[in-house]
Order: sequence, then C-alpha cells, then structure tokens
Amino acid sequence: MTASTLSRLIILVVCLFLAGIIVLLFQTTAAEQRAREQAEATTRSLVMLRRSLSIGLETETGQRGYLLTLEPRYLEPYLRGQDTWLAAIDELRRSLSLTPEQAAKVDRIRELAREKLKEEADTIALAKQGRVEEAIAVVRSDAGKKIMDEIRNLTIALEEEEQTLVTQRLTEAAVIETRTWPILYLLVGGILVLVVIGFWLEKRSALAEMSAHEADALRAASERSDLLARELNHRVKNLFAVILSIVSLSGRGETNVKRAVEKISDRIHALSIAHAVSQGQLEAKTVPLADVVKATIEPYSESGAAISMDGPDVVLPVRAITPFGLFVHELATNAAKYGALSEEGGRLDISWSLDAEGAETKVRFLWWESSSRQVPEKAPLDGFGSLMMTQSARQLKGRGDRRWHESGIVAELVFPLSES
Amino acid sequence: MTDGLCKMLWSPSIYLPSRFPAAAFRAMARLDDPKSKGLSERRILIVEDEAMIALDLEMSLEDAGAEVVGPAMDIETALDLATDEDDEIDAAILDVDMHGKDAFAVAEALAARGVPFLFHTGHASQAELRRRFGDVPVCIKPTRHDVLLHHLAKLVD
Repeated sequence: MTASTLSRLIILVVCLFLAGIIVLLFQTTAAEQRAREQAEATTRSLVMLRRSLSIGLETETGQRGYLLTLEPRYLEPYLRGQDTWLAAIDELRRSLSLTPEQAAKVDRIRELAREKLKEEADTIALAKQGRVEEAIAVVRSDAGKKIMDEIRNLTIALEEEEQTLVTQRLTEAAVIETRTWPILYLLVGGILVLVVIGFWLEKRSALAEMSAHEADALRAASERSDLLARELNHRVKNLFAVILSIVSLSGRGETNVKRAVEKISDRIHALSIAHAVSQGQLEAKTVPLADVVKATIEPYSESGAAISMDGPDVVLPVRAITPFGLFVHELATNAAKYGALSEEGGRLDISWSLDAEGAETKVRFLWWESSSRQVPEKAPLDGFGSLMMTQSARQLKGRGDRRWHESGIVAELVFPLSES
Repeated sequence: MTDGLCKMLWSPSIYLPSRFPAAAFRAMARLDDPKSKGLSERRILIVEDEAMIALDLEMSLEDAGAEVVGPAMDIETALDLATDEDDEIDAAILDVDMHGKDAFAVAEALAARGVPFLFHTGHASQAELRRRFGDVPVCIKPTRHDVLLHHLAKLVD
C-alpha cells in the first residue's frame, strides 16, 4: 500500500468517526430534549391537577361552612368553584396530551366533580329552605366524601403516572448519555491517533523524498566523477600513444642521437603546451586560438626577432588544440633553427582571419617570416616535420602549406572551425 | 616499460603480463619469419583520428611492406573507403572513438565485405566490442606496433 493510499484511508476513517460523533451527539441531545419536554408537560399536569383538586376542596369547604353557619359569605368559595371547577378540568383534558387511560381517568374526575357539585347544590338548596337537618344528613351519608376520595385517588394516580413518565424519560436520556460518552471518547481519541499517524506518515514520506533526492544527487555526482575518471584514463592512454608515435616518428631516419633527442623533447614539449593551454580541464570545450599560438612561440620570444600577432577572437574546440599546436610548433622550431627566430632583426608576422564559406566558417592562419639577411641558402625543409604538419592539417580537416618566398618561410593553414 | 597489450576476445591465453620481455614479442610477432608473406603487398585501411598515431602506423605498415589505404581521420572518409568495392582492402586497423563518434558503422561495413579488422582503442569498453563483434582482436592504446602488426598479419594469413 502506498503512502498516499494510506493517507486517503486515514482521512476516510476520520470522516467516518466524525459522522459517528455527530450521530451520537444528535441522539443524546434528542433524548435529553424528550426528557425536558416530558418534565415540562408533567409540571403543567401536576399544577392543573392540584388546581382542579383544590377548587373541588374549596367548594366542599364553602358548602360545609354554609351548612354550619348559614352565613352566605361562607358560600363564596363554593360559588367560585361552581363556575371554575369543571372549566379547570376541561382545560386540563384539552391542553394536555393524555394517554387514553389518562383521558378516561380525567373524564371520570369530571363526572365525579359534577356529581359533587350536584350534591353540594342540593344540600345548599335544602339549607336555604331551612331544612338544615336534611342537608346535614345528606352530608353525613358520606356520598360526597366518597366522591371526593375517589377524585383525590384518581388525581394521585394521574400524578404518579406523570412522575413515572418523567423518570422514564430521564432514565432513557441517562442511558443514552452513559452509552454515548465512552464511544465519544473513543472516537475523539481515534481521530487524534489517526491525525498523529497522518502527520507521521507525511513526515516520513517527506523524509523519504528528501533522502531519495540526496541519493540521486550523490549518485549523479559519483557517476560524474566516474565519467571524468574514465575520460581522463582514455586521454592519458591516448596521450601515451601520441607520445610513442612522436618518439617513433622523430627517430626515423635520424642518425644523430642528439638531434633525435632534441626533436623528441621539443615535440613532447609542444604536446605539453597544448595540454597546458586547455589547462588539462576535462570539461573545457574551447580554447582561444591566440592562447595556443602565444604558448607555443613563447619559448622563442627571447630570440631578438620582432614578433607580431594579429587576428580576431577565435576559439578552438579542444580536439583541435593538439594538431594545431603541433603545426605551429613545427613552424616555430624550424624558424628558431634556420629562420626568422634564429637571428637578431628577424621578423615573424602571425595573423589569422575567419572566412565564411557557405555554411562553414574557415580559419585562415598565416605564418610569415622575414629575414634581415638575404637568405642565400634556403635550408632544406625537414621532411618528417613537413609530414607531421601535413598530417596535423589533415586531422583538422584542412590543408597546410609551407614554402619559401624571397626573404623567408611562409606557411598557411586553412581549416574549418566547426568540424575541427 | 609499459607494454601495450592486445587481447583476442574470448581467448584469454593471448593475455600477456605487462612485463613480458620485448624479445618474446619479437619472436611472437614472427616479423622475421621468411616463410610468411606477412603484410607485404597487403592493403591495410587505417582509421585513426589522431594525426601522429595515424602517421606512425602508416610508416610502420609501409616499413612492413604493406600498402596503406587512408589513413581516414574521420568517420565519413572511413565509411567511403570501407564501402568502396573497387578499392581492395585486406585488413583494417580501427580506432573506435572518432571525434566523439564511434566507428562501429565502419566495422559493420568491413564485416559485411568480409574484410578482417582489429580495434586499436583507448576508449571503448571491451564488453561492448565483444557483444557486437565477437572474436575481433582488441588492442588497447598504447600497443607496441610490432604486436599490432603481428595481429594484423594473423588476420590476413
């Protein structure tokens, strides 16, 4: 399972937990709401039942007071109750939501209340006619007391039922709460744990990504250094091969050991100059042409000859440096032995230009020696030197040419810049 | 003395220790074997982008009596020479890395013509050469020219 799938799973589970929490809270609140509503309803019922009962008792008190004293002011509670008792019961019946059993009980109370009121009205009427004894006898018959006892019992029963209902709802709410809280704690705890796990995963994947980056960078660096080491190895092998060839070529046809050694060491020196101008850098892609020329003729600058250099900025690809350097070296070493660089007052004019030939840019390099002497004997051009120059020109995909003019050697090297 | 070694791929018996005496090389090269025609009058193609090495090889081959085709100093010239059916070639010495391009196309053209060749390189991976060309001898630069010529002579025999 990938880290991102795991993260998505965690988010899903957290959402489910949150949904669970909402459902639980809703259930608990609903249960508490029901309990509260029941408590309110019960309180109202209790108040109304008490009121109805007390009105009934008041009518009875009024009746009895009148029968005892025959004073009309004692009738007052009775008269008040006569108007309000049944109305209070009706209101109770109407305004409370009652179970059928409760409704039956209330109806029974109303019926009894009417009977009671009738008994009271009858006795009071008798008393008013002066038949007090008869009225008291009716009261003593206990019929009225029995009615009141039944009303009281019914009222108490109703009150108890209401109390039971409240208790029941409260218990229900309590049960739901008791059940809810541990689950809520679990869910909240679960969410916290998941969030922590999520953070941990996130951090771990960030770390993994970082270390992958680092590993990539390390691998790239190591590959680069391997590549450079391989390239260096190749160049060294190649250089050895070139040196061996120069040694072997320079020794050809040379019977004078001293001269052979001089030639060899000069040419190896030219190689080392070509290497030095590219600073031995494996990654240097180009080197200015002027730098190669300067470095190559530098050892002869003390000759006393006047040397001029003129040409635009031209950069040579690294591959061109060795053949170009060897070409210039052959010219320089020859000039130092027989030509312009061998004498006080000699002149060497080096110039180059860039010629556009179609899509190709060609470098035209000119080496012009002028001797102050009349140069009667034209020293023979070194055969192998010439061969090496021709070959170097070929390596540059160009052509080299060296000849005598009236006061010295002139050499020309033309080669394409892009392909060399 | 750093003796260049030339290995016949798949033939480790040819592998030579680095301090192999020069005399042994000469004996092995059989350059003085009168019965062997060797390289004389053989036409040998040189493909080499380093001027001095090309020149040196050319002269060594001419000393051995061979006729040099080339030297080709870039792939295009090498391909032209290798595919020119009118121009007979008996064997070839191929540098592998030519100005950053490999000379495999030249090797394939020669193989197609049935011209034997050897690689003379400081660059190429031997595994790569072995995979592509099987038993072709590979001489790692720098290789002594007598050893190189010995292998060349075996190719044309």
